[in-house]
Amino acid sequence: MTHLLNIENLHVAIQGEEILKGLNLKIKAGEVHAIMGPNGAGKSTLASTLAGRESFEVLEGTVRYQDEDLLALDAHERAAKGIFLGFQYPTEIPGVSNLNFLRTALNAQRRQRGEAEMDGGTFMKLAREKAQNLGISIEMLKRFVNVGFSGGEKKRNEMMQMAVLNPTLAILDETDSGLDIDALKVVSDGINALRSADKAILLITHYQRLLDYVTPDHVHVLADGKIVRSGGPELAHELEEKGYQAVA
Amino acid sequence: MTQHSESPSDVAAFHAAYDHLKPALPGAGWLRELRHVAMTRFLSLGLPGRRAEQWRYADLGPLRKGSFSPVTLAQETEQARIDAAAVPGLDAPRLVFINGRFQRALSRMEGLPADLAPQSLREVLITGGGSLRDLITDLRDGDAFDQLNTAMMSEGVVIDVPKGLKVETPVEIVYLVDDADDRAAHLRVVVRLGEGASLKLIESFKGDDSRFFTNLITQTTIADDAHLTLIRRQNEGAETVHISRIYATLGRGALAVHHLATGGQSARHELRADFTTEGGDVRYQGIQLARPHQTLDTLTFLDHAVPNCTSDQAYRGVLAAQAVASFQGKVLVRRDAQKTDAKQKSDSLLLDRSATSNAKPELEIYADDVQCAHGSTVGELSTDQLFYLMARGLSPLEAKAMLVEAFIAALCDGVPDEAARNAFIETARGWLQNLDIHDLALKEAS
Ligand SMILES: Nc1ncnc2c1ncn2[C@@H]1O[C@H](COP(=O)(O)OP(=O)(O)O)[C@@H](O)[C@H]1O
Ligand SMILES: [Mg+2]
Repeated sequence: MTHLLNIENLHVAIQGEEILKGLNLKIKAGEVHAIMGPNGAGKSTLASTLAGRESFEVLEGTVRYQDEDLLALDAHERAAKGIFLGFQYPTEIPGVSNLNFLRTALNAQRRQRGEAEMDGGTFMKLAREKAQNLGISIEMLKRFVNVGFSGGEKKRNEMMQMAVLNPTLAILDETDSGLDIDALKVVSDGINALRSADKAILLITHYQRLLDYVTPDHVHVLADGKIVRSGGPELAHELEEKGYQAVA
Repeated sequence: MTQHSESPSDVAAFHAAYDHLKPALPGAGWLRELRHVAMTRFLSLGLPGRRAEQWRYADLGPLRKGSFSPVTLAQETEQARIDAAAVPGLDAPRLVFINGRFQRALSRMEGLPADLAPQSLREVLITGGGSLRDLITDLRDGDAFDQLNTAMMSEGVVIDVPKGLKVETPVEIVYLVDDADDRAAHLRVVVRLGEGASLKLIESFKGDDSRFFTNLITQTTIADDAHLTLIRRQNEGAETVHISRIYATLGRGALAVHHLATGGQSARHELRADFTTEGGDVRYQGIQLARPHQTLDTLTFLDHAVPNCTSDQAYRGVLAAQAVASFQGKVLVRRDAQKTDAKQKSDSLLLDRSATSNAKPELEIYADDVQCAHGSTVGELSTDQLFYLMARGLSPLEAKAMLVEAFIAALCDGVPDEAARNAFIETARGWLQNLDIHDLALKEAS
């Protein structure tokens, strides 16, 4: 089987400073990968680069997704092809309601894929169902995107978007940070619900905690812009015990 | 040589139009004299130059170059074009002006209360006699455009809302420009609310690409406990010069103005409100959407002359590449106007750094026990927000459009009529759709 995502020798600079320094990573459909690593290692840089943040400059390397040159696509084209970035710090957008945002996004993706737009009624049904699963009230859906949301609510809202957009490759950047144990459970359920043979999930996390709920197939350590070690779920425990320094 | 040979050259064309039209201008006696005095003043004032503080940000170039004479013939306009200019889905009595001429046959009065009978200003000027002095505000001390309007006004409407009458239905006025190159409309609209009366006026300005000049003065008096809501959508053609002024005199009543301006080559919008009795309240919410190479300009002047009045102004401007949009908001709190509460906020969004936004809040406060707040911001679209939207599937244009809509959402939401509110939003969307990616160009700051 070919890889859903294949990153080779990726070098990325932000404002002229090289942050990713030759990163390699292969992900197959059906797999869950976890990336762990110290602060500032470049985890979010990797996530944003994959999602198509323009100001991040790819200096070298290739990224293939579904056997296509991912780096040649704009962010919205990547989204339409099934890439979803769960933001570490979800952006607040005053003046745009969650519902309007979600429906616009979903239909923008469908249009790009040549699918019919989803009508209001069907969309509302879908949104209600997903919201209920995640313990999100309709009230919250009517509010402006992430405005005045607590840290946990923002993360849950990212999960809501993921559930509605139903991506093929979900990249979740510290979706577990700042969650209490109940919220963590809800978020993990949301992630597990997405798991399937034709999809893949890349979990970026700081803690072993999330991995108790979502068992990864592979765990990688990212340090100083590179994957320095890879292993199975046991690697996460080892990191927890000994720290990055010793493991990397 | 005529006696006017020394008048500034930029007013010569207006002078010629006046001389030509004089015999046909409605009204006799006192009014004729008033017009003459106004024209004389206009000629000596000339068009305001850029050095005039209040005209620093306006563009009167097209008026200096052009020659605009009032329309005398009625234009045959299809009903569909009028409907397209009106607020979609608004089921209300409607007054129609085409090229500045009132169209009784195209207007519909059904649905008005029995004791509300809008009259054609032209007819009133012709038949009015002595009562005209009460009707037409003396603008003797006003600027060139006040004088020009007084001299030339030939059409408009008079709406008298009697004491105690709360008009349930909104009343719509459509001003349409249709195939009228080098023509002008000098309009005067008079709205008078008696004690405890209320009225909601919804106005739409729309036009084709005629080189036209709209010169409108709306004068309103609002008695105690009366309430006037004025919702105005200015979306005239790309070659039109638009100057509109609202002159309000308030008793212990309230005025709410909701304004959306996107039209014209160069457009100037003014609101002046004079508080004359304690307890008056003015709310102003204005939006300007300026496309490339367009000049939009708003000037407000709230005169808090008496104590215990309130005012709240919110302005939002969105500017595409090479556009100029300005907001000058003056609040004067006179010595006696204790306990005044005056707020003003202006926010502008530059879609490209080649746009020019001028925002000048001007607070002149002579009373000591007052609450006055003002704030002004100028910003660009946030690259973080754009990336967030694009990462969810919106194209760069869709993402920008969504953020622009969000930027003006609060002011659209404030429009107190559902059909008019939707018309504001649709007009904004239409404005956005007419921009291409270059007008919105904004390199991600890296
Ligand atoms: N927008 C940015 N502008 C400038 N530097 C950045 C930006 N984002 C990240 N960096 C820098 O890139 C490095 C990696 O950051 P990041 O990818 O966020 O690390 P991690 O997510 O692993 O904690 C850090 O040194 C950080 O300061
Ligand atoms: Mg990070």
